[in-house]
Amino acid sequence: MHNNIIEVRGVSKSFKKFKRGDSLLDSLKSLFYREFETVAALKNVNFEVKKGEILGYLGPNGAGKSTMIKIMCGIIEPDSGTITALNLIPSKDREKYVKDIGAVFGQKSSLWPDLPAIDTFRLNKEIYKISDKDYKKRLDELVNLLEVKEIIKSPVRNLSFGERMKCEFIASLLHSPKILFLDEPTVGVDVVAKQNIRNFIKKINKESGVTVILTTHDVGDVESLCDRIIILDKGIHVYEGSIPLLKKKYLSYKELIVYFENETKNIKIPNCEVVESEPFKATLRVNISNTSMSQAIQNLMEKYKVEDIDIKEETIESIIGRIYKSGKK
Amino acid sequence: MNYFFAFIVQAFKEATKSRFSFFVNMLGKIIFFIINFYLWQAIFGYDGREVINGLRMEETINYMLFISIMNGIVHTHIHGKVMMDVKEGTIATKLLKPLDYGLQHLAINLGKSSFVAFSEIIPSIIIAAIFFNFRLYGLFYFLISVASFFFSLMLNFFIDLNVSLVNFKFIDTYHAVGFIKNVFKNIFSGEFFPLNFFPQVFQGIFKFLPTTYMIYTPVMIYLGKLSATDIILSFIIQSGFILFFYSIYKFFYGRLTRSFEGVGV
Repeated sequence: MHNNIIEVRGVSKSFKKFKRGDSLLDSLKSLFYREFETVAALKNVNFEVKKGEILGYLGPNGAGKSTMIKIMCGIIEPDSGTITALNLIPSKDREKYVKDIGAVFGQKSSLWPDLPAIDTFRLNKEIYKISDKDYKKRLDELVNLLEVKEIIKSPVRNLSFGERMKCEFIASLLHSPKILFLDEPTVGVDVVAKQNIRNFIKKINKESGVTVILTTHDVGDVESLCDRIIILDKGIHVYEGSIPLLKKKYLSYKELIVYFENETKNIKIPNCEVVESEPFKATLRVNISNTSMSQAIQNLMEKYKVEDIDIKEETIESIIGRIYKSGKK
Repeated sequence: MNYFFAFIVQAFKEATKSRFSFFVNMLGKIIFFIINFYLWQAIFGYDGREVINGLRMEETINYMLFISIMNGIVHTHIHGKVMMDVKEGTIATKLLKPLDYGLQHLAINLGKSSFVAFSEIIPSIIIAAIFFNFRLYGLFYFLISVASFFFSLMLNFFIDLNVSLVNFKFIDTYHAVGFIKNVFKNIFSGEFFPLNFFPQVFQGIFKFLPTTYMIYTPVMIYLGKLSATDIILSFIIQSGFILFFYSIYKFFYGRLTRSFEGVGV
């Protein structure tokens, strides 16, 4: 397995889905006769995760991300293919395997809602057989890092979403897991708390060497955290690599925001599309697969009196959005 | 502290949060006391019989009062919990713990039942004794019957846990399956009325049903109706049924979770 902490080979998983029409008659018919269709959630998925890396596992809704996460956590079994994590088969060795993993699911709480979070932490101490000394040390570290000293004594039900998420992190990290699965950890969290959580993930990854597998729809999470990303669409990997490589491979345009000295109309530059035009300002989209930025700027300067230029790249969000839409490799 | 005991403590703590349910439960018990007290007086008074199927009126009323005092302990919510775990996908958070799924729920159930035992038994006994002539038939019988009720809780839990596994395959059958299970249990456990009221031939069959050992047997111990040998035998049978249903759970749980498709994490 070398440096790989997880190896996924040829994993496929399909679900049987009940097909039902939306009319009253269809509902009545379904009492006597039901049609099922098989939906392939994952199709021959292959990848590996290196020890200590932060991997972003991305995809539109229904792409198969959650299914893959559940398979990697040992909650469900694939129909075919193999998965090895920490030298174990997650679904077969579940009770042993989960001792060394942690998970934060943004939509599902592992905390007891009517009790203070500290009670869940104490319960986890017993579940994972953490010694008193290690528990105290680890709890102090995590509480200080996330600045939640007072919060952990209030009933979870009374916490804000961001506060609850911080407590979820503590609960999932007390036993010093080797792999941390994060499913939408910043969804519904305000900007400041989001930044705190991102800094925290970076810090624990760097200091404890914990491998992080992150699913998110927030491109900010991806840009600030992930060493590598995998994009999944309809159960198939459509991209695997780093963010710079993603840009290199998929970046199709850059934008020039041009400020003119005089009022300028009807702007026409080869390989550029005018996105927005005002009397003294215009936004031009440069197709970089057909021309270079320097050429586009040169053409612009030759034809118009330009006061200033800003260059804007296509955002990662937009690139990922295009990949989702096209489903191309 | 053992993790199982830690779960019990956690569930006990959580149960202390719902003070209102304590008052509602006590009110429910008082209504049950009143109905049974007057209902059985009317039944016995109808043709003036002193004994019906081996139980005197006072014994029958105490039988029903004792059930009401103790049934909060035996009660389980496991069927609904498993349904929610499967339907809402919260099973994921439980399967991420290095523990058996059923035993996590058992510990939580024991914690909740411990709170009910702690908070409701003594006030219920006091109310029943003052207003409805409830009495003990000997401290020894009372203590042994409480122990028997503890075994009943375990038995009831594992029966319900097995029934709840249906949720893994047929999630939409929750209410129907739950209804049939409860009707069967309420009648054949002796919760609605003592099993002595059934014809002899049925009583012979009941000896082989696990439901008999859930309510009827512990209450008959409390009434001092069972010999020492029968009491020992009842504990052996309860333990046997607990082991039997636990084994069935282990057998089916592994198979059902392997084909489990889950819900979005």
